[in-house]
Amino acid sequence: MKNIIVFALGMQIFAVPLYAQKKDSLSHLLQLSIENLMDIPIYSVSKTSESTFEAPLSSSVLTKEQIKRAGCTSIMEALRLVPGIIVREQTNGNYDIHLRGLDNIPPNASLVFFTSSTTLVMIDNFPVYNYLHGGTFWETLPVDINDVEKIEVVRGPAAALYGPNAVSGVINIITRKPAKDGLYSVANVQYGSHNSLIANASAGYKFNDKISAIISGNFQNRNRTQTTYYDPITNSYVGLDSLTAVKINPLGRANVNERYPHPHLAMRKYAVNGFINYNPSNKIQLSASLGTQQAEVQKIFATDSYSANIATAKAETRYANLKSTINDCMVHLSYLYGTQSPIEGLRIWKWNYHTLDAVVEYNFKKIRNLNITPGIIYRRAVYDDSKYVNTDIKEGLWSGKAESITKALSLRTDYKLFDQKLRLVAGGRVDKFNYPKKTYYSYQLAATYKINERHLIRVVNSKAYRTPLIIDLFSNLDISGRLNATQTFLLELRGNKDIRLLSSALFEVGYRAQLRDNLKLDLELFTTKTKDFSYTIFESGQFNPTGPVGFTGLLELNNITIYAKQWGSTLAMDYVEGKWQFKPFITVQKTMLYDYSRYANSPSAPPTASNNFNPALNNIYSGRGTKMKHKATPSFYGGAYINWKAGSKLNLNLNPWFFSSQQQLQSSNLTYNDGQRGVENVKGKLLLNAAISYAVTKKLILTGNFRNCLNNEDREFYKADSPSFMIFGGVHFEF
Amino acid sequence: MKKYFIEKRDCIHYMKYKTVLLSLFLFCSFTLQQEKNKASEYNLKAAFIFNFTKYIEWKTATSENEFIIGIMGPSPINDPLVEIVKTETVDNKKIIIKQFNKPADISFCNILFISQSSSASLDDILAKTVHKGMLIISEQEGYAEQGTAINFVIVNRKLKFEANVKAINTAGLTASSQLLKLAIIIK
Repeated sequence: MKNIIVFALGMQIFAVPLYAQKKDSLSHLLQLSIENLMDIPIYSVSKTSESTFEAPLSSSVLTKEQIKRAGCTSIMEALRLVPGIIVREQTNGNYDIHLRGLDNIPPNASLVFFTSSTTLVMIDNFPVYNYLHGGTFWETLPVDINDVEKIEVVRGPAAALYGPNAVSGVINIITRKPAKDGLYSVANVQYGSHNSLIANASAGYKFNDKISAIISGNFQNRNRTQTTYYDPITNSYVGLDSLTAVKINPLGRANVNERYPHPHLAMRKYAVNGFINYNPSNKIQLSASLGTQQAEVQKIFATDSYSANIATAKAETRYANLKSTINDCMVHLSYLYGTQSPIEGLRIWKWNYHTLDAVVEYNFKKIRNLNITPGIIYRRAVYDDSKYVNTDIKEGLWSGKAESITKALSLRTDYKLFDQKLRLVAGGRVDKFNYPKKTYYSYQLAATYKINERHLIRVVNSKAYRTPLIIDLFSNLDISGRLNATQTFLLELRGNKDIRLLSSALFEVGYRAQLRDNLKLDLELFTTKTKDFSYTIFESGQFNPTGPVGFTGLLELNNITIYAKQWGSTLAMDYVEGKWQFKPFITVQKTMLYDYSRYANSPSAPPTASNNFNPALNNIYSGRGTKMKHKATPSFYGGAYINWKAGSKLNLNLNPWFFSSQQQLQSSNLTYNDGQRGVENVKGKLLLNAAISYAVTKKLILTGNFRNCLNNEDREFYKADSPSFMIFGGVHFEF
Repeated sequence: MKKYFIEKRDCIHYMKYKTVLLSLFLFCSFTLQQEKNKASEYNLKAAFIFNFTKYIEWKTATSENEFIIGIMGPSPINDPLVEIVKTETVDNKKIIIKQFNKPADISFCNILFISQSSSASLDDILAKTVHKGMLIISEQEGYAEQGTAINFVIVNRKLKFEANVKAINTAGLTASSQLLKLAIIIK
């Protein structure tokens, strides 16, 4: 087998360049007449497609034109047009977004562990993910569809090139810059079902090639598609007043109103952004952006005894970013601060936070075909709940100021050889955190071989770590309550500053081909191993039959034995025929879990019903040696972008999206164990979206937008709202 | 990497991946034989531009010892044009390449190529170049209608060109009928 591969490789290397000496040489073209030149097909039309073609990692680019034509109403929804991303609707406009899956690990966990915590989300290369739990509060993105020039998605671990948290991949939203001199303005309003209003407006001015500025604003209001909430006690969807959690709330109606100020509302958010670019010369580029956003949503993130699955989350953020490139030196500074309250009305889930990111990189290009880019990185994230809770009695999640600091060195090299046919990209990064104290090394090795202008193969091997999470490191909460008529209990929840960071390693091969002038193909085959997941473990406990505190227990954030492996493949095609564009994509993958134990307690925990009163036998280690198919990640999913430019004025677009069935398991599955409560059997489904646009003039476009045309109401996320058919009418104005 | 596959149960998967990888190589070998004679877009455009010089009657007043090709905005056409300059001449004149970034910078050139990535407004460029004996070549949809002399278009992945005869004549130039016969005429 090995010999055959070596032989095949050898044949490629020697046979291909010989043939590649084809008649594309300029001297040959100069000998031809215009008539002959007109008969030669072009193999590459745009620079963009060339760079996507040559990208060393699994990546996709979604452009603003595609987003507009497909009728996407938000950045989150637009991600359904990108291969390898699973986008599940929770409530109208709020989504759970996972790159290649690995969701709901460990199974039977509490809701907060459902969120994707391994994707690095950035706006113009500035990270916007949450240090709290590694996830992204998507509703807090200050930019919206109007601001987007393109969205770049990298699939697979890429921390060495992009920074920690790029474990399952990177989503980088690139904002638009004024293209032409003078004033430009874009306004876009869509109104539709469930009182959904999406309004975007931006105005920019390009004074000359050196200076340009944009100011933009966005607003979204969306009502829920249903008025009921899931009640686990009765296993049914009921009105707010009939919800058991509401009825037993000891703080009464006032607190219920605080938790659910707008029960009908799914999302209300607005943001204002300003962007300035100043390029005094070719070698100096300066850009600055600042903005503010406010959001109130009802989504599924976390819950307590007195809230439904869906909770009101509020957030406000302000940010300032500065980027300068002088000659070959790039300096990036970013500061973000705000307040988050993911369960409104529950004080212990509220905090102020600020994060500072500083990156300095230098690009050496002295040696021909070799690029070396060393970098220094400093990141500081501070989460502080002391303003909202009594820290003396450890009332808050971390009861004080939690500070996570990262200092890192990175090195990227990019080397092209054999007439630029072979490209080797190597990235390494050393991260030193304040906690955990250990030094972490991540790497990325990629090679692409351009067989000719139409065929490229590539190989990637990488390893990445998740960023240290505030929840994992700093949890510091005392939970007390009544144990019996005379005694109370005390549960101490503590973080673990020595926790091992979740990591993922990848091996991938890919093949890209421009099979015909109008047909592109991108195939990737990958396998990953992800380990060192963390969870809340019941470590120990002591009963005291005589004292006032009858039971004292310790819960600690700790690593668990479970690890996950994935094997999969993503295939994407781009086919253009006349006025038609057809871009289907599909991912087929298998996810397996090893060493999973359903018991979240240590061997020294007290005997309780949850460990069948035998902690020595039933504990976090008792799953060793087992393996099971992971049902929460779909085994296939994908979609298509089908566009018909019916003329200069009319455009029609269909974008179907589908996934196979899944099963999500929440911790209450272990309590009730009835196959219903704590279980969501998500059915395989096909969503069909359609959009039509008519350009009344070059500047004014009318749009009709139909989301979920088949009115498939099957739930997509654990006990979430049922999606419904939505129709939007809109106006797009561009000057 | 091997450590992921040392477990027996994974060996089968690894073998499968090797097989797929091998199939890819073999597939590539096959498709290679299907390759036809193709050219890159800007090599072709540069070759076209050089060819155009033979079919245009240039104004005699500009008979210096240089033939100037200007490029408005950054463009990949720069590299092939620089290559052409090394070996070719127009009417025994040395070819000079000039790069412009804004309309105000434009000085006389025999041919001005407007890059599609140029941010300058077409009206400003045309205002700066009208009646000066300059052949304006562009590569964006609708530009010939708006007044450029020649506009490249891609039809079925082949490079064609539109010619605006009025614009050529307004510039004080004459295009041969042989050239116009091949062009998509814009009126």
